[in-house]
Amino acid sequence: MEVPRNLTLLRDNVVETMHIFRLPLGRCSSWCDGEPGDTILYTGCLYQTMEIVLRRGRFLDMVTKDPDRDFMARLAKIFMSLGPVYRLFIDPGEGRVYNLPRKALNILRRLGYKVGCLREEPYPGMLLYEFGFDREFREYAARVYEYLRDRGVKRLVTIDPHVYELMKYIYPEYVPGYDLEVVNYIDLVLEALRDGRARLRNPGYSVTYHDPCHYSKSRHRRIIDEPREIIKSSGVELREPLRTRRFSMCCGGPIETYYSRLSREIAKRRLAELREAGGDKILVACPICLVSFESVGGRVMDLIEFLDENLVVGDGVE
Amino acid sequence: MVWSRYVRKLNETILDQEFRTGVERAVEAYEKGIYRLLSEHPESYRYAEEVRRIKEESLRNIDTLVKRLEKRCRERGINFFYAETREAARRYIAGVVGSGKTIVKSKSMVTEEMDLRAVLEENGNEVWETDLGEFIVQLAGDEPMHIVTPSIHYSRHRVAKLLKERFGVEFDPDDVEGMVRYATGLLREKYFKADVGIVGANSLSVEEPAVVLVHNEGNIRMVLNTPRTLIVVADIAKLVPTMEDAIKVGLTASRFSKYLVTGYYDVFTFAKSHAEYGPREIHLVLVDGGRSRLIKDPEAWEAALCIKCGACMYVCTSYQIVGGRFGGKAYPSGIGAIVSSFTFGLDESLPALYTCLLDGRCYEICPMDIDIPGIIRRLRARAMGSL
Repeated sequence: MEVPRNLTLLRDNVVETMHIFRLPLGRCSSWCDGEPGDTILYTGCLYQTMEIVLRRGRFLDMVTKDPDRDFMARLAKIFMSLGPVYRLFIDPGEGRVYNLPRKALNILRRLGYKVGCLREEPYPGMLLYEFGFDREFREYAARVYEYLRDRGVKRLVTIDPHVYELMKYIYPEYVPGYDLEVVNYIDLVLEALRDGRARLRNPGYSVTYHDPCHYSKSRHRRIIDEPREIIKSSGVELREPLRTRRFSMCCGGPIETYYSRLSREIAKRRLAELREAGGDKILVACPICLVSFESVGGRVMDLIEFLDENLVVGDGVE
Repeated sequence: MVWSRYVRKLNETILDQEFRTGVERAVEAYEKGIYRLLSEHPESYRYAEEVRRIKEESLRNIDTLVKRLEKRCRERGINFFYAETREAARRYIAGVVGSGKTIVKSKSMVTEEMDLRAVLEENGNEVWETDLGEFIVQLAGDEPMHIVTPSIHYSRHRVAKLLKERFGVEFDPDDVEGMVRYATGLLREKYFKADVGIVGANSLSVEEPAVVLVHNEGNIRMVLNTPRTLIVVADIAKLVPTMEDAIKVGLTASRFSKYLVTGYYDVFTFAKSHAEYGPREIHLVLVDGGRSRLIKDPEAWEAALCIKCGACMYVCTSYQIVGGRFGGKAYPSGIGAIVSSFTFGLDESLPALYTCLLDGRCYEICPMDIDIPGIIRRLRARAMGSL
């Protein structure tokens, strides 16, 4: 069986280091202020990893442009084993995307939710699952579960569609005895808005919302109206793109690691469609969508940023 | 090698503006039309549910259905041939046709899959595709990009150029009507000259053996009736128990292909009277070619429920960029990648299985409710598990 080496490279990275790009797990959570607790914000290092994809795109592209670039993938493997040198090169520091979990944590706390975090966060293994490394995923998921249990975690709050779906619906199929409660931050925010504990200020621009696939087309639970209710509660005008809701279009991100050209074409086309809808801002709710669009020249805003910018708690006096 | 070849094609296609424009136009027309059609005709979903039950039942009893159809055919003097492999089907058909013949064909993806046209031509026959889209693809020596609308990647400019190259006739590219008239006129002569007609099938009924063919151009009707020898080629997943079932399959397929009704719904029964009035000799070639393995596969069998409406292709995110370059031979996109994993092998189909974004637009539209992304992920797992 002929399998592109960049697929197995990523598999090995995850299995060996619990990080897609072999960074220390502490590099996933410098935003964490160290407050533990049985409920944690679990990002699965997704936003943080996507910061690397965004900022080190040129390097990664050399490895991932085509699935038949075995030679580059081999080189990358050697390079990655160089430890400190490689880390210095690959680590883009803490930019805007990296810091979105910090904002999310802050939002949740302002809304009165008691949410802790881990100073070292493992990647949940989504790539292993999606690429079909099922045997590895089964073992890996059990490790991640044990990791979380060992630290007294009972409840996860997730802030993106992939980690949410994986931890809530896929893990139970793979990990015997799995009993973590998984909550989506969108539900928590919505609950607070409905209760009147908080409201959103109208920033005065119109927005076009891009549904992430794993919310809008999930076979487990669909989160389509909830983000819209949040956005509309601010009073902004919400525009819908041509392809929307359960027929919304993928951003191209999932095949980025081996068919990067096709992936980028998909992102460009969707971005054009989102622009055509005419909103002043394009709103996404997934780090992969965020980076897919930004990598092809889009300027998009994450729902976390929208909340962070416009959330008013109580009477506005905090 | 498999991957390099595949990715080269993908990347070339991305840069082919004319191709992209054609695909873009087709998918947009489809998406705009289908949502309106389904909301105005919600009974289409009821048809789909019923057909899903019919097809499920048929796949469960496939061995019995095949045996029964063979018996029914023999009773009616129809030559029945069960081809385990594509090669066997090709050999049988080539044997029936011989050489020096003129053959008119309807569009049939299973014949495309076995390169039938090329084989017959090599044997010194003249073969004409009579579906205009497929005719264009044949003239260009290209492959079909969609199972319902094979030549969506051809602009009218490219078609005008092809007609000039192949027949020396000049057309203003804007004169689409003129080009259509020319092509149908040319094909009209061939029907009456033809010795052999070859048709595919939307569905095949077993109890009262009949083939259902849904089309818009009227060409299939000519292929069925004019030549003295008729060969029906179908894959085994097309079998359903009764004529009523077979008609429902055809009707549902056309609905999800975005047609409220199509121009023609032909039911060609294998009646004894054909020997007097229509084709004297009828052959039914049932092609397995790996499909019985698919039907019996606990993880992928649902893919055999496919009624070939093509909806999942039009709405597929990757397909909307690279068309049928994503998928299996003659069977594009995710569903094609799944089926080719059985008809051509997992190894060969791996690059296509990995082109899927697992975003699930196909699953949203599929009238048979086939979990295409789920099956694709499981086939990836099967391949990776064997590493």
